[in-house]
Amino acid sequence: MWQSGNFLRPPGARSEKEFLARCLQCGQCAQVCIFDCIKMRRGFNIFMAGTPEINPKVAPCHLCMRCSEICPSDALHDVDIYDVRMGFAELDRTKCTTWTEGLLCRSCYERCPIKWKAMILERGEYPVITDACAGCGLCEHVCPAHAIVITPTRFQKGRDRSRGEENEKA
Amino acid sequence: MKKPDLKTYRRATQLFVAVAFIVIPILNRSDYSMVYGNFLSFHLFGIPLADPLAVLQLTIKNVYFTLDNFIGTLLPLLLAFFLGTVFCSWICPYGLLSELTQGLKNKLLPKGYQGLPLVSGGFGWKLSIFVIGFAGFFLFSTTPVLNQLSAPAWYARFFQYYFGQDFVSLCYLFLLSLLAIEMLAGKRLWCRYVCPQSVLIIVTKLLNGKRLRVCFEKEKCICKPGYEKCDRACSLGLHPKTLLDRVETECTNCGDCVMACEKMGKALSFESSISTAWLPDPWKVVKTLGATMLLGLLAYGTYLGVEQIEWPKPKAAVEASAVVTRYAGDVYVLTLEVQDPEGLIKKVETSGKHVGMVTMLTNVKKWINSPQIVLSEGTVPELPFTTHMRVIFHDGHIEELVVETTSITDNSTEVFEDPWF
Repeated sequence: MWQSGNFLRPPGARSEKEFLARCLQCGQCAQVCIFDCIKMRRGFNIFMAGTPEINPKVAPCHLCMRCSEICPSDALHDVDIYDVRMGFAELDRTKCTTWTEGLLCRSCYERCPIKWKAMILERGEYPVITDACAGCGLCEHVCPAHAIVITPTRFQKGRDRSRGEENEKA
Repeated sequence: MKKPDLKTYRRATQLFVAVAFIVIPILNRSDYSMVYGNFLSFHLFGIPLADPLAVLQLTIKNVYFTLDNFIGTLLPLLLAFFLGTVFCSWICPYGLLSELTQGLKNKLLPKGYQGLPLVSGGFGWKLSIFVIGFAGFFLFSTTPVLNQLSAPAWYARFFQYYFGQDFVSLCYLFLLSLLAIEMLAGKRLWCRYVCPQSVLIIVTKLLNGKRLRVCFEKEKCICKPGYEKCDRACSLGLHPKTLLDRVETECTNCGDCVMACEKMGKALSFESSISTAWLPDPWKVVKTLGATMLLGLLAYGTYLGVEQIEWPKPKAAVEASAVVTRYAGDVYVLTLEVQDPEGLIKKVETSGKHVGMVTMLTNVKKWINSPQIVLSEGTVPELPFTTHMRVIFHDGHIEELVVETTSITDNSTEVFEDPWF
């Protein structure tokens, strides 16, 4: 029954306030998700119940973008995969086995759907997460050392990661 | 065979919808995604359907609507415009549960049990809840408030949770307690006094003066006052004989009173300016539709079956050879050759124990280059030496070949004469 408040919204979700004003709680995004990562939120807060959530530790998003395609009320709008900002992954270099012990792990890099844009291998070996990170949570899910933590976008108030711009720079 | 009456059709439709919303989450769980959603928004083979109230809330708060939502509201509103609030009596699963509860009440509770003495019209109550909900949605940053008061949506959501996420949502307690209260009160309280979803379709229905409605002819009525069959038949507790405009807003055109009156002089009947003469006999329609659907299913099944049959493919005239040759200095070389006199082959991919993947491409019609691969220097390769070839033809058809080499051609005595030296 216990559930964390540290969940992600599906890819293409608007800012939390706009999202809530549009979400119909129809659960269609959860029903079309073929990876079963989108769940309908539960709990006694009936205004949040039925809104979609993703817990990357349980099942990460694979950025297939089916949910944003079918959302009838545009709470999830249809964006390009490079413009998705669900959250931001942060790598703890003191835990990562590649940074500390020099093991060739690469679990996160191999799984990242936006390889070489969101995740870069410094000197060909050491993973570094850039601002292009979509925050899908795949790296958090696969990291054997639990070195990666995703922060949902709605908790990053100071961080300005405007869509699209840094991609042009990159 | 006895012709099924209107109530049988109605119950069948209600049951079909109620069961469909149990089956849909199970289908979705097994990755079938042609039908999905609940009563707030729904997609049926790509056709959007939506709750008009939910869409109205979004549109007013965000000053923006999507095409999907707009198309989705059209069908429910058109239905209400011409036929009245038939959604409540023919589709809504909560309506079905509520009606069945009222039927159960008559059996369980003593006969003279009256319940709450409520006589006033419920539309005013509904309207005030509607307005309060709108105000709440504007003041607070939440999801559309009135969506939480949609009993059919909670019904569908329970099964979405149960079959989609293996989670027993407690919303079933909410629905059950509502039904229990209605049973004790002896009135369909939620449908008459709360349900804000019906406000919009009632308003739409009132816009059309020539909609389908129940009308009463006083001369034909033969009931004793106080023992009206129509009063007892009406599950909403309305008085069909006094259907004035105020009461008529709540009538859902279910037709129970009309059916009860059929044996009592036919004083109540459906009236509509829409001519029903062109409508075919419903039983015939059901038969034709059923036959068509069966035929369609059969055709589709046959198509699926035919698609799965592995038809014998015409044997392509492909002759391939793989020759291992020993050259001077103990160099073993594999030479691959594919004969293609008719120019049908697009591409050949090879793989084998010692061979990395080699792709032979051809644009020339008659000839494929024969690559030479150095297998080993010094050691004799193990025999028999197998090479797998994947021949891809221009028409997309693929053939797998396995070529075995059992002997080694000795070419070591041959001396190359290099023209440059």
